[in-house]
Amino acid sequence: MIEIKDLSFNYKGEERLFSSLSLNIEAHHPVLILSPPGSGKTTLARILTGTAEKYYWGERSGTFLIDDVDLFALDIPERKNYVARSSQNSDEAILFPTLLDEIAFPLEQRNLGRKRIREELEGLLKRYDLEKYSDSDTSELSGGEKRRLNLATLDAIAPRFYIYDEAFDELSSSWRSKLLSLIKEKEYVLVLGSHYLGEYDDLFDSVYEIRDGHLVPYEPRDVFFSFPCLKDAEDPHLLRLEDISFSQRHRAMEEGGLFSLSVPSFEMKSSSLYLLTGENGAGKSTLARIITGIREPDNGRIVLDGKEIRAKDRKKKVSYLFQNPFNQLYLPTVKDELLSVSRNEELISHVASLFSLSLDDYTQELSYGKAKLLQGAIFYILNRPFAIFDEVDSAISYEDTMTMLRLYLESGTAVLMISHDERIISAFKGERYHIEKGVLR
Amino acid sequence: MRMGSFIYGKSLYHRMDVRAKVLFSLLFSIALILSSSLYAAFTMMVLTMTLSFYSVGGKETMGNFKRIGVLVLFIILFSPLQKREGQALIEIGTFMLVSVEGAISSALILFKFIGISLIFSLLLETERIESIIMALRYFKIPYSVSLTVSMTLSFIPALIYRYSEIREAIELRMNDEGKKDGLMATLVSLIVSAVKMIPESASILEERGFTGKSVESYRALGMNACIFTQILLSVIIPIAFILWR
Repeated sequence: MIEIKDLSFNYKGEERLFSSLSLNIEAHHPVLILSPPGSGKTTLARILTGTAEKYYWGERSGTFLIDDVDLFALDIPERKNYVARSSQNSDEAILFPTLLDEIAFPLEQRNLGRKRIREELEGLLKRYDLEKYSDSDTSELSGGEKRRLNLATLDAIAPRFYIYDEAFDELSSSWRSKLLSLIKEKEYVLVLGSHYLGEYDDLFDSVYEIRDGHLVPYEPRDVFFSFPCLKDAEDPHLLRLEDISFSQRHRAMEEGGLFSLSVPSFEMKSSSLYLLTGENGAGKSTLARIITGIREPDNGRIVLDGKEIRAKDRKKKVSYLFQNPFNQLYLPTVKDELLSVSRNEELISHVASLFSLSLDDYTQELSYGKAKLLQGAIFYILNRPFAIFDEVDSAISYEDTMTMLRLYLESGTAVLMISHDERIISAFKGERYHIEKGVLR
Repeated sequence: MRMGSFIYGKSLYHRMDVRAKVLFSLLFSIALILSSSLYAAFTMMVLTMTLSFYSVGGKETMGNFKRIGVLVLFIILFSPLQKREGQALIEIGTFMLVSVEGAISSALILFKFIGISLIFSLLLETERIESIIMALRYFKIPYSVSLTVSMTLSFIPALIYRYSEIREAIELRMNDEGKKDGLMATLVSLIVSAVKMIPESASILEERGFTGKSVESYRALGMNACIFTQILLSVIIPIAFILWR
């Protein structure tokens, strides 16, 4: 039995984030905590593994017991035998340049011996279908593949208590189902998320949300996917991709390292909503990069309103909200970020309120989800005719996702949404594209 | 995130044992540093260029040159001005701008710099970082030092990659007026991102059980007569250059 009692925490010099938070978790009864971005989910995970105090200047009180073992009395490496977490930001959690080294590191720290480590490595690569990338550079993986690598590394630690911090994000639907079945096999599990996924049904006995620093039972609410009614844009634009092909070789791999994407036809029209789906590594982000002008296709044409448009000019026409929002944020505060795209203070205050942002917040201290909202606000001010939301629904609530969509569409922007979320996919109203076996259909 | 520079290949240098290669790179660099002969340094530089060309191809070799291009330019432009005694090579009126000795000394520095840069680039492009670490551990370098070397070696290409990623991302959100701030914005973002990596990497290392104590690696390096010969040659060739004066 896991007992977390009277847990209080604050970052030095800041207001209390948790006060007297208590939670019990029984073996093989996974618990889910759902809360909006910035409510402290990642901090809670870090408190339990011990890094919030040591590396992030935190102050904590309370107890954390697993079968009467006081985990707060153990140092971090000792504690990992009991508790470990998967990081919400897949990029930040990768420490080594190859998959094998990344997964092998915790296995080596467990002193399992060479033979056993090799067996475990083989098993984990197979479990997360990463065998073909075993020699690949970790930087060449897609977002979903990086997530699977993180999960494989977490399994390599083999703690008794697993904390999955937004672990379902970026995973394709089939991998979400697989992760659920893997979770059922673990002894103690805590899943942290921003919204209730359809896949969660029947898995959790207890669902909580964080409210005013406490855990309270989660009140299920019907999510209303109100995809906005589309109206004709005042100044309509049409972006077309014709017979596009793109290929790229993994530098460090011998065979099977060639990635290719073919787009016979694709178009985006002002004030219209499009959905792009596909398995992890299918090429969704690559297509987004081609549309945006970050990648040049090997062949084919990209045409805006009947005229071919160069990559340089596409960058000024298409807003691309990256999977990792922190790659697009660099100024000290939210206000500075918004002022960098508009000098109109009245406008930025208005946009900040639309996107539930506080102007004085420090950018690098924002939660992953809040950073996504800020990213959305910046491109909203830029008001370009086309926008691509690359898994924007991960780490933010459905309500925030719908708000962002509505705001963009109402301003006449054509939005291409990349998503793995079954609830969004099934409720979606608009044109759909799907990438399968390297071809967009 | 970390990344390596390894490029898959089947060249002779790719197939060479990693211990021999590490030893060769170190001793070859020492030979270049100690070299006082222009011809010896030139020969060593040409040797590394040829080795690079045949191992990773012309495109990658040129890429390595591009990366050190600015420094090469600085050496060519400013190094000859440091030594202006002896016979004049370039004169402006009565003022001697470059002497023959200055030009020779600069050429020596240039050959050494290019040779050392290329031999280490080639090591990283023909060997995976984990293999280099295995070689270091084979030579009894402590585990924590090997791990630090490993993380540093993969941190540098990761930062370069991150630089281009952030630059692309920032370009996308720049409006026309903001264009002039692009480079500064990218550098600031890169520094912030690199600084953020410190506590994140340290905490993740500990969460995965790192204590600094030596642990058994899942990889192992064997030894046979062929590898012994390679190691021997890796020592003899640089020593021959050291003796060439």
